[in-house]
Amino acid sequence: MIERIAASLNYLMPMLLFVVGMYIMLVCNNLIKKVIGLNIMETSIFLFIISLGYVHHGLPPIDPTKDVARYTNPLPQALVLTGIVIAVSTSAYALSLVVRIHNRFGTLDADELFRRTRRT
Amino acid sequence: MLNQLPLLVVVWPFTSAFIIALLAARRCAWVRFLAVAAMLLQLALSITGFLVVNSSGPMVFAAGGWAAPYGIEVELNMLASVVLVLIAGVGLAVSCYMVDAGRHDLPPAGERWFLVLAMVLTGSMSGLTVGKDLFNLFVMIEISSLAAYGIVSVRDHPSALEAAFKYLVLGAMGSGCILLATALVYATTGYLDIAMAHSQMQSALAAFPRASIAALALYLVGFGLKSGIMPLHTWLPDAHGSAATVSSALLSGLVVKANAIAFFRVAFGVWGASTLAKTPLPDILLILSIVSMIGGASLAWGQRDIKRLLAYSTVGHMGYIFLGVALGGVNALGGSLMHVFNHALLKSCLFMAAGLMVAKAGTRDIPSLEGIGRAMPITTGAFTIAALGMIGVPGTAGFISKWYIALGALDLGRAMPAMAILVSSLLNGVFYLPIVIEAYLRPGPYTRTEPEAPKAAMVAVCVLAGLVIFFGLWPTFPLRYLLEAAQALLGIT
Repeated sequence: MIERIAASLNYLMPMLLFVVGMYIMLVCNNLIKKVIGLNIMETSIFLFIISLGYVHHGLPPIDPTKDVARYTNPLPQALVLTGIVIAVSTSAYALSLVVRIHNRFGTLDADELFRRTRRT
Repeated sequence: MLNQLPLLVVVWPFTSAFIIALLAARRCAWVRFLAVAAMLLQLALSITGFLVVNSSGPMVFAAGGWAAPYGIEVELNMLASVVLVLIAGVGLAVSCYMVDAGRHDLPPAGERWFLVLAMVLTGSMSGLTVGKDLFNLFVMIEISSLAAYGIVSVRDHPSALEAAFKYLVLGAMGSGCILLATALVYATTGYLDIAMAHSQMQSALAAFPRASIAALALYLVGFGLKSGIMPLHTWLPDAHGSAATVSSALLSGLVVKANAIAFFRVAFGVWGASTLAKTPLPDILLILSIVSMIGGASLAWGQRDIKRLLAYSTVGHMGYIFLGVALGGVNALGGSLMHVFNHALLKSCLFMAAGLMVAKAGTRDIPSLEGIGRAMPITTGAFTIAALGMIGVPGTAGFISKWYIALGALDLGRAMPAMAILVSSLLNGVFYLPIVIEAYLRPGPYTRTEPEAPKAAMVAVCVLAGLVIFFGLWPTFPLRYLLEAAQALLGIT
């Protein structure tokens, strides 16, 4: 049992983080915390993708004279790099929206926001 | 040049978005016509693509000359080429509306950014329809989602900002699910290319049955969130209801459908129709789509705000689109692809006609729109035609697609979905017809002016209404090709 958990730790931890991030996004009322939850969720997926390409004592896949069987898979790294760029731009947009909302409403509480937009 | 067409339809809108962004900072009045010209060129490219695909079959272009497992390929097939024509057509109508009616509910800066974001949205949705690589699809989904959140928040209004944030949180959650599902498909099959992942799917299902099905479930939740089917729809009425008219027309007309089409392509492409039939997906989709059809229409009934009513009606009609997939079979799937086409025309026409009425009346409250049909007979006429199309009156485009979905249900000997279509159509009649009747027959405080609304916007709305009638009476153009596309999706040749 312990061995099985230890062997699949790289799958379990990202899933745990994914659920934590999703929980924060859904349950926390503070808008900044929602953005933080979004980042935790995205990071968990990046960790999962990176762990797919991991090879123990791996080599960078550049030099063909080395042991090809020990090459790490470069594709997940390229995917995560792209994913990080997307995550950063989403966070930047989300935070700029939070600034706008704070300027307009003077609050970052989602429930309070909901009440005020229904009144206007 | 012609063989690069599948990529060109993606590259051109992005290029023009940057050109518009650079010029928008200087002269605003002039840049609107540039957007119309850019959309016209995009429509020309899409129609060329359709003609080429129709005469010589699907075109595949490997970006940078790197073939599939190493590089990214884009494919222009029958489905993609029809959807591209649709995207460019609705985009053109919206950019015509922008020429003289955009400033009714957009600030000047918002108007400029709208044009930029609309081009980005067109490009990313085109990328979503031609993309053949799962990660590339994810990138396009993210670009279109970011542009869609932006297009809601360009209307610098408190309720629009709140709606944009809500849309962002739920949309980002959907993107997260899609990325995780993509990672799972890559982990189990070893490929990101849709066709190659499909070739490994049977062995992946045998080796990792749970992970493969979890990926499908995550795609369902992710794309379901983005296309607003019923239990995941909560952002949609706020975002589509509080955005500016032009934004609502693009979001309700195209964005939700581009995501639905992407889901069909991924589900049928990676898993294949025969595998999907063995999973619980058709049953889940059947329940979700019937709930959306009835629930969306019932919630629309209670609305006083005309744009929220139209937004809830979109939720209902997304139910029809997913129903065809839940049923499977050429008629049902072809019908739901037809409904994508028809509903895009109908809903963008409704939103833009309603936008003109709201601009005249100065309110979105439905009871206050009484008598507006006397002051704006042409606009209200276009609204009426599109409303009848939504109900599915024979002779309008909405009838053909509902007919085919119901036919597909009866082909399989299932009366329940066909009954649900009837009930939902009835509900559509119950909330659309009173608006039209009261607009024409009750006296109201509005006086007739000449012209009754900005000219270019009127042309856009009337052309869309005309197309609704045209495709209702001569449905061959989309129907024949979309039935062919449905066969390709189902793997029947």
